[in-house]
Amino acid sequence: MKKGLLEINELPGVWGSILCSNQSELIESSPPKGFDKSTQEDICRHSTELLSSAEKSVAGLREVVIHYSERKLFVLDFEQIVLLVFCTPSVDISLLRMTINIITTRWKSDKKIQKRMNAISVRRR
Amino acid sequence: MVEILRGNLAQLSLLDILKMLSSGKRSGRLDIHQGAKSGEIYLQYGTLIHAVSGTHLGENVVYTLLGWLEGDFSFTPDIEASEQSINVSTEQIMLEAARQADQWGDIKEVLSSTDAVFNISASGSANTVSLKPIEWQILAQINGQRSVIEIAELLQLPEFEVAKIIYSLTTAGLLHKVTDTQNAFREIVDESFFDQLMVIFIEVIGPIGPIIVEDEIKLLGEDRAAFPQNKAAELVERVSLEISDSAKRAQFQKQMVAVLRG
Repeated sequence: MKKGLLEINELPGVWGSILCSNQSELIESSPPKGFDKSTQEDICRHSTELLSSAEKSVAGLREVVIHYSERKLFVLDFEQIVLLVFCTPSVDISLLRMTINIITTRWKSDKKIQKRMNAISVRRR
Repeated sequence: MVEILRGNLAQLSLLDILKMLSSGKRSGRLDIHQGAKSGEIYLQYGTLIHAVSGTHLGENVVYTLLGWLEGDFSFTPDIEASEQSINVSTEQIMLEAARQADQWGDIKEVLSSTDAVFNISASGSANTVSLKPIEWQILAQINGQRSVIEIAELLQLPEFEVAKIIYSLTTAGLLHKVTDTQNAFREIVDESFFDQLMVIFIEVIGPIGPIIVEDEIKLLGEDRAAFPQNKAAELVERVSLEISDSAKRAQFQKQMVAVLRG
């Protein structure tokens, strides 16, 4: 999973990425410099809360892009897991979305990753 | 000196103002301003005798000024012209102006404004094209960077004349409009990008691939001949959504992301 995050981070305009469960537990991260564990956990908690409340109003919502003055936060919901990507405003969202799809499709066929995902799902129940 | 008439061309067209001053047998100077540009038209007992805008003189200046749809005007009576540059009758100018005003409607639908920038269309016309010398002169100045007004100034031709020719060359398929001046300098994808996209997409989806790609280019409001680099990934993503099998879609995206990232 770390390798996937590093691939995402290689894209132009990507600053860092974090993977958490939809219960805000930090799973894996390759964050922007200066983001300690507690900051990452805070961001995960706020992002999953935002996704959860937004989903109540917009059915089928899978992604949210939060625009800050100098950064963009791209939040993607994959049911058990939530991917957060920190970007500059110049990031090519289509290129980012396709890269994420390539990586998550690969994860789906990786038994080790699937086992880890299932463990997250079991913990949630 | 007292100004007797002042207003904005958006409320009262220049043609209507000239008709009013001419029928009222007025004498004086009509000043027109549009941003940094300006022009003067002199009347003597209702007859148009002199017009000047920058270094241009005569009736062509009147036709150019008639093309200004926005700007301020003011009429100051009893100012005499220093010279006579208009040598055709006022009625003739009014008739030509009315004809041009009608044509401007069609031209503006394609040009939007004389600040519009055009480029030569790579697909060209399906038919044999013969150009008049003036059309060739204008075509030779089209480079995806010069605006209609800049070409008119460069060739010392009336804006209306240049706009009319660019309009006819565009409707003949020889030119296409660059959406704005900034976009004229945008990076365009290499044709090899489309070659690779077509080959990879046809492999996944079959012979309908090129039709889907062309449709998506149109939906993005772009032209394959001048497709911007910053929309290439968006095009690939949109095209990929036509692949229903998620594994095949991811495989297609993987190949195309490699192409996009060089």
